[in-house]
Amino acid sequence: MFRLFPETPDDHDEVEYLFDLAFAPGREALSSYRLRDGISPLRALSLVARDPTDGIAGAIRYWPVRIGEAGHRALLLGPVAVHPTHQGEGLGAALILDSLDRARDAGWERVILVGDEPYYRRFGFRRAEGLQFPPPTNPERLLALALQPGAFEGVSGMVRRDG
Amino acid sequence: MTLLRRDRRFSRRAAMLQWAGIVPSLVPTRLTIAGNEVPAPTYPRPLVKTLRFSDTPLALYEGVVDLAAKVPPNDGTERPPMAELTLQACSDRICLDPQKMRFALC
Repeated sequence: MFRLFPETPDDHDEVEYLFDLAFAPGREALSSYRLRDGISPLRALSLVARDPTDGIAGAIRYWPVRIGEAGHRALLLGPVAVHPTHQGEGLGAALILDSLDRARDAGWERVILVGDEPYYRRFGFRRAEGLQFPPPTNPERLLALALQPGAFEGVSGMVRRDG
Repeated sequence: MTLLRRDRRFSRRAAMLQWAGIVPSLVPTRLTIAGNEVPAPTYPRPLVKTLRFSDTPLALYEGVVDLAAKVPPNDGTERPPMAELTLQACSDRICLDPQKMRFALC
């Protein structure tokens, strides 16, 4: 059993440690981090999972971004990570689905991420047609999910920083 | 049967929890799983005490509380069952705002 709750500033160092553990060194050199530099994650949607001993078991973060010249608002999902000792238990799916519910309830309309389409397809993500991501990014890994019907109609262009 | 075990964060924060809605302005402790009410017998018996801020006796949980519940079978989707605990923590003098705690049962 894992308690899920919005990340607080007190969780920051543990969450960063988890991401360092889960991802290759130099993760912050990825192009997606250029969209996050100097911008805080959205606290209400960025969740931490703790196990019954209070240990950090997983975390997910969301960031605000803009799409195209029109500046359509969107969420950038990621990183999401589960501690190696808790992988295969369904915690990643719980974090993704619960946070997407919260995003939908908060009125967000669209989510994008850079990731493996075969994994994220189960959550409804599909190749993001008409969107570009700052290079170097494999366009086949840019995925999108509409939280509201038609949320990506007329939305195209480069994904850019919000602010 | 899967048990909802006690949680350290939960027990630290919850000095006293109202068990039932005796006083309308206070929120009773309530556990739902996958959006469904858990049958009442899974709640342990409360203490009945009178706190300093009210003359009305209140049914309370104090200290560490164990709540047990049957977890529904997986619905065939990726989503593990989720539990939500609604509680209102009080001291002898004040009650905090009600809060909801969410748990992934995986």
